[in-house]
Amino acid sequence: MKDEISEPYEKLYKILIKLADDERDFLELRYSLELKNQEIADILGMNVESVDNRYLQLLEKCRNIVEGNVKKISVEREQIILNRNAESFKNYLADKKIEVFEIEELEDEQKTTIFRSQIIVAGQQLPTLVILDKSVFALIRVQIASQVLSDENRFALLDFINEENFNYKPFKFYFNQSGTLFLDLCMPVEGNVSGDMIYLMFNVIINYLEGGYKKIMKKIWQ
Amino acid sequence: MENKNALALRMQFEEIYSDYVHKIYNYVYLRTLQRESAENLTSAIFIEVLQNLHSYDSKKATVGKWISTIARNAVNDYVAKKLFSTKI
Repeated sequence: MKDEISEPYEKLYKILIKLADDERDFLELRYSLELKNQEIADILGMNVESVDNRYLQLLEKCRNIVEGNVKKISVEREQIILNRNAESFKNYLADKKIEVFEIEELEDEQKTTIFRSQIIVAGQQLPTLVILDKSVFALIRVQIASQVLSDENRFALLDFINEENFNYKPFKFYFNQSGTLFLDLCMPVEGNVSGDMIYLMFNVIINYLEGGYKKIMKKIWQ
Repeated sequence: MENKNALALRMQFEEIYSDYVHKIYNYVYLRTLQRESAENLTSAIFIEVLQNLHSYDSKKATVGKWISTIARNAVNDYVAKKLFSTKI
């Protein structure tokens, strides 16, 4: 069935169809559901200031759509998308006064931002990354052991890692080409990254490694 | 015969329905941009409201915020299912 649109809504429809779903969501929380900024902030897990800023950005975007300024829109959309996940996590770290990450912004197509730090397990400092880009996934990566895969231990280690992957669903282990063992935890992010969720996932990893790290290293050095 | 609690819940639901049905429909329609989906989703949202009304706590959230969260989750689920069912 083709949707029929009444005259007063035709212009609105032409604007909305050019917005991404999350952008329509934001505007409609305000206009259709008539929520206040604080309520929108609560629902979206943002602060009120970010809600104000996003609202102004989207109004500007709608104005550009009306004026047919498509190129400007696509640049603006790119900027909104590229900044949101990383900016959201940066704001979280600033709010919580967490200063343990070095931040690196790559100039790649996905506009990747890498937050580098380390976690300490069994007296060992394990390099840890939070990788945020334009996609709907956030990745936490922990380097467990550097260049440990050899021809001698390959079969036993791969078998062991496969078993660990089978037993622990939230994250996965793998060896890269130089035989370094990594743990990856990938989580979907809806609109804005939740810093609390990332820290919860850190806890999941650390809780596992508190017991699992020694077991892994024992297997490696057998 | 309806007891007092059931009667109060029914009256509360009728009030919420009357206050929010158009707002919810507009929200759902302007996100999905499909009339039929919007009608189905709006019905599903109010069924969920009815089923969960006994646990609604006005001290924790306004009705607007509560019902918006339900509506938003329903649309997000719909959009996600649609996304994953689209052949690439």
